[in-house]
Amino acid sequence: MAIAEFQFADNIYLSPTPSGAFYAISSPAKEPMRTLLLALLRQEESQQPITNKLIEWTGVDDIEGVLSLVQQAQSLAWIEGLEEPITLPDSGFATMVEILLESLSNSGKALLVDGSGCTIACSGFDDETAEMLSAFSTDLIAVQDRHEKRLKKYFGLNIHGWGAVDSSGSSRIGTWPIYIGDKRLLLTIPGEPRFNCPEFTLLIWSLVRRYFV
Amino acid sequence: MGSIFVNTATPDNQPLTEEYLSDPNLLPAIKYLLPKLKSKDKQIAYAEFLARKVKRHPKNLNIHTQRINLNYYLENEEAYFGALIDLLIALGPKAIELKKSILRPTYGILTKEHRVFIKKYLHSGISPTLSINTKESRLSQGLSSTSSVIIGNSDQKNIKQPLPTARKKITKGDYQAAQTILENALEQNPDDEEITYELLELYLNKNMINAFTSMTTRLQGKTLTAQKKWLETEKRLSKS
Repeated sequence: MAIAEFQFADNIYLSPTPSGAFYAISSPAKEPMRTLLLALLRQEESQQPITNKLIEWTGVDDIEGVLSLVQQAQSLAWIEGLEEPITLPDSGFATMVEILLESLSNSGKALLVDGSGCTIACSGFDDETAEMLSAFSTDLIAVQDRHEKRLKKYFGLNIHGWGAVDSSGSSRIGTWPIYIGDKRLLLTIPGEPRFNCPEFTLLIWSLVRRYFV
Repeated sequence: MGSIFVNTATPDNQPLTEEYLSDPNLLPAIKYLLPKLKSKDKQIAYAEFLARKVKRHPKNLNIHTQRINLNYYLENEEAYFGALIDLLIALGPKAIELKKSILRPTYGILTKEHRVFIKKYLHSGISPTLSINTKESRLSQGLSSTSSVIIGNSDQKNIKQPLPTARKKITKGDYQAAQTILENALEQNPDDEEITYELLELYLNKNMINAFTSMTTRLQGKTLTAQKKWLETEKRLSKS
């Protein structure tokens, strides 16, 4: 058997990065990379890279395949190695998600609803605004459902979110679907979203732990 | 406080027409180093607009400079630090004098911790994958650690003839393995000109801009050979 070209570093714990967490929930399509990232996000605490576990999680059937997949994830900066394992903050799901939502925008405002528009968590909006935004986000996603396939067919667009944009195309308010297993949640953020912060990974981690069946 | 920012090269150094600032994209390009706005709310809104523009146009130095100066003027240390981080990510190891000239008059606002951090990476620049404790950077990827999960195995680290081995890998189309072999070899011998050229050509041919940036961070503090080739590679990768 050929010697594997890569090996796991010693004494590290795997964790998806914010970009990796975004990729994991950006589509319901199942493929090895997404399966790997979602598997990591389903754990109670960050895990050491044990080949057998990774094979079991990803369905990739050989060691070289798993090493290659993890190497690819590292090249894309979708996973990182931590020196100590981490766990989610122990503050209760609702409180934690609300605090994490606050980190995702300049204004500290964000709303998370389920597929039918029921509020899961809200930061910075009063009840009336949250209700209006809930309807706004579910309408936007209905547009996605109607047109997504055609937009992909005719323009090659992989859509990650929908928004109201300014004259340069920057989002002034947007909604991003979060796919976790069979569930779809909707995240609405006014202004520019900050998906490149560790709090985004924690948010997705807590949602996957809660909703992945 | 504001005098150092006045761009004397701009003849019509007039305040912006603020009533039309609801969408700053519609204003003509502003060339002042510090955009002139009267109301603080508009200044804050414009700083956020500049942050969005940095994300869309990371190589536009005028936008970086305006964002840095405006956040300094607003005395928003965290946003100012984030703007500096984005400048160091965008410029990488080049334009040292420019970086110093932007930083020098405004350095005092930084906390001691941030000052040490900026000083450490001023020459080498910053990789987007470097772990940085700020939410204000738009170009950072928000990693919490710099440890690798996976490494080239020990056989590849200790290859006696890395160059021919890497070339064989390239011939077979195994660019990832060739990259690892060359990077490990160059890290051990940063003055090896042949390996430098082979690795930089690989980055160029395969358009590996992230790998290039990571490697410049890995090699910071080491004396590099073929400086011109490094600069030329960066220039060509940033154009592609």
